[in-house]
Amino acid sequence: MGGNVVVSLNQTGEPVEFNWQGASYRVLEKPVRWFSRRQWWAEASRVQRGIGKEVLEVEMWRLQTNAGFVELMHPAPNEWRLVRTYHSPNN
Amino acid sequence: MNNFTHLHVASAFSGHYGVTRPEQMAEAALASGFSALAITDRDGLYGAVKHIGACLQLGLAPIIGVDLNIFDDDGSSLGRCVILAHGNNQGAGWATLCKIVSVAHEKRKPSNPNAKLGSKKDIGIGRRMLSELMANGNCTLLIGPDSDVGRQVVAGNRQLASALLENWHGLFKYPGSFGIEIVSHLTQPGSVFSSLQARRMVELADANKIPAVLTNAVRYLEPDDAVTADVLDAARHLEALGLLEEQPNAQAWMKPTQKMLALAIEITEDRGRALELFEVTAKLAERCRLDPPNDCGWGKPKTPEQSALGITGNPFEVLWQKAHAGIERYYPDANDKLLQQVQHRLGQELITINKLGFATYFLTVADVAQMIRDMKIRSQARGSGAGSLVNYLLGISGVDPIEHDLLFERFLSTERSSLPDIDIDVESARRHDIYRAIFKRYGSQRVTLLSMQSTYRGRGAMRDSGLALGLDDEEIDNIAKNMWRFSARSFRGAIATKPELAEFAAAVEEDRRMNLLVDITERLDRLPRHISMHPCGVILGDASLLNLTPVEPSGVGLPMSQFDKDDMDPMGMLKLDVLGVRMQSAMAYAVREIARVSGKELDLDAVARDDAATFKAIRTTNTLGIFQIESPGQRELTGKHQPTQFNDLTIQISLFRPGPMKGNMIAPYLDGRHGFAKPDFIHKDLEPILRETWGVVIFHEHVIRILNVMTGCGLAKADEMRRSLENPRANHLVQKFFRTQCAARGYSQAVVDRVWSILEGFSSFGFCKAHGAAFALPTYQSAWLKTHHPAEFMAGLFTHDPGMYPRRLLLSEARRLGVELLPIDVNCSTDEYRVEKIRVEKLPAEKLGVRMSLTEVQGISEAEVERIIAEQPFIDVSDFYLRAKPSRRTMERLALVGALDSVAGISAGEVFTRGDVMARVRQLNAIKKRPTAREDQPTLDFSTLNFGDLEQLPTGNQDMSITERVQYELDILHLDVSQHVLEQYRPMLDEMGVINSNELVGLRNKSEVLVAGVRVATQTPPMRSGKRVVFITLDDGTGCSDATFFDEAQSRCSHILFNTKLVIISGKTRRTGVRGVSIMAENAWDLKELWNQWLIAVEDRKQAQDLYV
Repeated sequence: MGGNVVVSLNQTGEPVEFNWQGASYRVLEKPVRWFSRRQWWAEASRVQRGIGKEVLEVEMWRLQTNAGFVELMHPAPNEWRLVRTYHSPNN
Repeated sequence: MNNFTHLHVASAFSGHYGVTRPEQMAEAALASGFSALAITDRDGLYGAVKHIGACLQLGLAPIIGVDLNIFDDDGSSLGRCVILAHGNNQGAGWATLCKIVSVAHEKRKPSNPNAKLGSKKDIGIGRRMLSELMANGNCTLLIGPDSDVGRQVVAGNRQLASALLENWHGLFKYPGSFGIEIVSHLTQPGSVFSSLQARRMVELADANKIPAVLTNAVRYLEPDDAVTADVLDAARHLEALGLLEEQPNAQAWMKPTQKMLALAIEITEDRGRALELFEVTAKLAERCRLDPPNDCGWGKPKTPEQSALGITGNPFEVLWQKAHAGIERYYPDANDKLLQQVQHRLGQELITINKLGFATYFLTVADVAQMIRDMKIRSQARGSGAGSLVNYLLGISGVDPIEHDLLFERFLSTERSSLPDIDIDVESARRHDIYRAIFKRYGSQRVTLLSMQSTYRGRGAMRDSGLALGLDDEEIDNIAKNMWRFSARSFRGAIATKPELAEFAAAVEEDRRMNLLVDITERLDRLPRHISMHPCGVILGDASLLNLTPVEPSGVGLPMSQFDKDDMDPMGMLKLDVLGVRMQSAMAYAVREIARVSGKELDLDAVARDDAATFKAIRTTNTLGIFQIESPGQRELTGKHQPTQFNDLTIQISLFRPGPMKGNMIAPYLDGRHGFAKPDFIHKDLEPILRETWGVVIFHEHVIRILNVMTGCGLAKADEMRRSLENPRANHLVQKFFRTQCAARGYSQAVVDRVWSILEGFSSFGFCKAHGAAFALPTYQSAWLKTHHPAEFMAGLFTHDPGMYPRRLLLSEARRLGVELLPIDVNCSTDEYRVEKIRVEKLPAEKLGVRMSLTEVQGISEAEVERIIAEQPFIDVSDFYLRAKPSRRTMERLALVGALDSVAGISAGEVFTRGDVMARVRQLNAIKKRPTAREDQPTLDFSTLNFGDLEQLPTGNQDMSITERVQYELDILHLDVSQHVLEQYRPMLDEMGVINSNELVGLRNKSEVLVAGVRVATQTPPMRSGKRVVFITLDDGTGCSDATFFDEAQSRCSHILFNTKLVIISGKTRRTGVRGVSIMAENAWDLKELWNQWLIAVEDRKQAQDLYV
């Protein structure tokens, strides 16, 4: 999994379409967004005052496409990574 | 739409959970446009007073609540919930909140007062009990995502969630006393703190017609702080990050109104419903706004009621009578002139006390002081209270304020309405007795202890950070041992500049985790670390005390308020500091020993305060064990100062502060005193004031008098102005007043300018003379005892260990004084250090020695000590073994330090070696089961034992060399009793030309020397230059040498600078005064390392010589 994804957003900043591995997918329902976390103690080289948010937190999106569900990680403004795909959500 | 109010907020005073101090929270809230803010700390009201104070200052409305664990009837946890107090109800809500918190801590109270406190997991309140306490509806309970209801909602069990909700609702029926807390931290849908869960909670609330309230369950100010929160969570769990359940993300911050609205909309998916959430929240916030003076007794001083003090009639009249009765007692031989002065002064003080309404306060303190005297415990007031004649006449303070020229206004005046501080020094060993007596006397509803919050400093912050990162103990210790006194937040700066951290600095460059270690250590700076009992404070209030403060168990069997010393004044609480001072215990012990050994009853407080021999002894600078003046810096100052009278001690104690040292007051004072310079009084009006200090402004009292003389403003106003000098905002007003008045009274511009520049620079420099005088008394008394009764005094020092130095230095000093320390002896030693008469051969008189205590033996138990004392005397080693029943370890250790030597000698009548004793001990210890010595058995049956004749010790065992003896003594007693630990290195020291420290004073200035010794003090006091200078003091048995290390020297020996015990130092002597000499260090070495190298060199030399034979 992983790898670069290119995402198009609407006015309110929600994904409406994305490209991955040469294919294009349209987002069907309203996307779900939440915030997850990273293990900065294992990854980061510095955690001085001021950079806490970017080393600790990461925005996540769950998008429904006609090919199933997709979970994207959005760690930086133009960086999107595919985390996993599945056919039905847990909740 | 109103602005939002955060109702669930944890400040840094939620231990190891919250990140931001209340003051910072309040400032940020104001900047965000909030009009009110709540603090709901975990398990208590620890941050409440600071929060209220910050809000009042900033114009925010304060709200207080608590976040508590709630238990079901069967003891299982229903989750943490928030309880908020309603305000503007004459303190009814506040009192209920205090009671709830106090009850929540009750389970931790151990049944036996001396047992450990119960686990923190026991903190919490039963739901049923909570509902009873909240029956009057003056608080609101909110249950949220983490409650039993919330958890069932997340699991999707709607019906069960509803049923559980009904359990709650059924108990909290009073309208407005119960609500559901709606929170979303935007976590993954389907998990706790997700918007989905919040949505379901809203639906549940609506379906059951229960108010839904929006919060953000805040634990830090900004998202960046979440990293710090992670570290705190690790510290709280005592586990490395990755091995505990960390917080889900960084959303628990104090979000502004707009973001909270966006959250509400995301949760409800309906703008109208979101606005309704906002409104209900705002309504609750409105109800909870506190009116601190009327709800919390804010700013209203409270003392015990008259009846509690046993006073009938007008308290002021009672005070008047008691004070006047004191005149007879304390001024029995006063002439008319002095009596007039006393009467006049007393009258003035009483008028002020009456105006302030503090008569009961003084009667309370006098009552406590009398109670302590009745318990036959030494006590003495310290601080500015020594300046009050009323205090002196009531027996609270021990220094005559008229004789020592002290000012009442420095202590109390009509310009200040807050209760003055009175601190009483008492024998440290008895202070718990005093606390219990105070509780008994005034009743437990009027008295509590108070708490103290320690904060993270450099080393502690690094340790907890290391734990969080999963570093192992050894790694952490290695770094910690070179961290010397810097604040956590300047860790990175310290690594760059301090030579002893060079190795660690290299590690930081290469190891990612070390870099993180530095970053997170800095983040922990000054966060509260531990709450504990304030070691000296007692709160004395009236019967409403427990309605104003919550209490929790302290660990000493008495309840303590959750408020700390800074919270006392705002809350109008009277805090009496009863300080345990070990020197008072040591002196009381010495006095008792004098009585026991010589039969003389000594009244230490009545001893004349001008004994020439005492001052002579002080002037030698051998002031080890003397209160206040035993530190290396004080010894140097003594060498320069050469005090001759009591007032000199007051001045010396006052001078030895960072202020005067930085402010260049010492040199002009000493020059004036020794006649090297003519004192400059600036103006003849100031001469009477500054005569005692040769023109140098040292005391607060000087400033008060100068301001008064030059402006005519009166002493009370003068003290107010003095206090304002420290305040950068009020400073210019004082200056304006000063200059105007002085000009009007005819002082020249030059004089005014000079005086003002001194006063302006004064603020951080001066010292209160009353403090100094109060301290000078035990300084003098301890010096007097050391001079006239050295053995009894040393016995007191050993037993109570009041000083800054390790005990082996006391041993060294005793040796130097000619007070022999008698070794531990199972027949003579007790559990204290006792004075014993020693017969000296060929001399008729007896010397006094001090017998070491059994308790010095490492690992010996209280029970073992008791048994030995109970069964003394013993006739031989086996008798000791059978009747005292020591453990194998203790038996061996006693033998190794020679405690059995005399016992071994007694029965046999022959001289055995300690090696023989050890052999016997090994035999006895080898016996599997100790036989009981039964009295009905005329002879002991030893048929089960494997050795022959018991009466005779085995012989022919090699004795211990003196070096071995000393080594065992150091290991087992941490004391080198037989000889100074340095002596075993004598051959090398002599060859190197190391000199004794008592020879230094006879050398010329700038002589090159080598000194050696055991490190007894390492200091880095603040210097004028701002650079770090390291002072190391060594003891070599003949005295102490003091060496100074500047930057170059520090970098030459940085790896041993802070951590090696036995040291050799090279440098040049520097005379600092009449009897003062120190060493400008050039380099330093680990003595043991040099010794090992030297032994090899000696061996090589010997072999080389042998070759030539």
